[in-house]
Amino acid sequence: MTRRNRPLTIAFIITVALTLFFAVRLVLFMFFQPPHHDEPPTAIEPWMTPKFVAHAWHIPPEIVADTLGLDMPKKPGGRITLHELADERGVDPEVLILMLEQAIQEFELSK
Amino acid sequence: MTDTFLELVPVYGVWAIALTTFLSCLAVPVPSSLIMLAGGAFVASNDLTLWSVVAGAWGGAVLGDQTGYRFGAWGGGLLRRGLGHRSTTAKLLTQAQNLLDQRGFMAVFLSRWLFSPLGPYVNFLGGAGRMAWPHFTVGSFSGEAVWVAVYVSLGFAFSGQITAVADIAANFAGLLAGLALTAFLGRAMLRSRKKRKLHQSAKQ
Repeated sequence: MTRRNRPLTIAFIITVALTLFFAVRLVLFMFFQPPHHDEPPTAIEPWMTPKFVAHAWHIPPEIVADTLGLDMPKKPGGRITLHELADERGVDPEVLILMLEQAIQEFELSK
Repeated sequence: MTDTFLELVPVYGVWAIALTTFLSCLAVPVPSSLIMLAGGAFVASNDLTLWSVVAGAWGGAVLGDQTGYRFGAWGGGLLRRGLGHRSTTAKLLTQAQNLLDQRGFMAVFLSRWLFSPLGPYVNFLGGAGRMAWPHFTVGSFSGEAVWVAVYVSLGFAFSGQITAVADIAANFAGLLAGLALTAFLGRAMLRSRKKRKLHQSAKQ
């Protein structure tokens, strides 16, 4: 390298490599994990709210409310996560998640 | 890790969203896209109201931009003195600032949403290079509005799939920012080569 601007060349090479890295990852994610807007998440998680579970799994909110023994207002507000609800009741979030999974399954079968 | 951040949205609501977008405009590595997607998803599930999510995300972002610009204005002089005039970094900094002077509004506007990973650095550079504050502010207000609108609507539409959407969005944003940076550095390389040639032919 004769009197070349070495730091600039190195920076350029790094940027090109990073760009390629993102391009490859983008293609991989699009190919293996394409999001479908109607599909529910892979699992019920403690960060979700009862209303979110009803919405994402396309089940009537009343079913979720009955399963958890909750009063679920239609309007925004009164948010509680499954994590918080479990803490309140002194149980593991997994317990609530199992109950919900069962309720979703029953609803699917009854359709 | 992702779950911890996601839980902040239903627990702290709009404040979690505003704080995240604020910090992300200062180059703090927080998952602001994921948080805004979650905001949109919780609007869809009727846990949060649309206006509060939009206002929180936008408010946090524009405040973050202003803070970054201020930091740049304070730190810019110090950085310049520390680097001297001849270093490559100093030269690149000058070129980036010239670009900001010429296309200030567009540079700020596009680095809010299209090339969003570059956003925080444009804030610092804008302040350091004393870019006209009204231009910066108009670019920030309009660009952040696009950024917030895109992510909140995606979260609303893809509520069950926000982590998958966040992965794709992050890599897409990285790719675009990488391309922009590659173009900028390529231009700087061509310029320095041209200068060297001129220098050599002048010597002969």
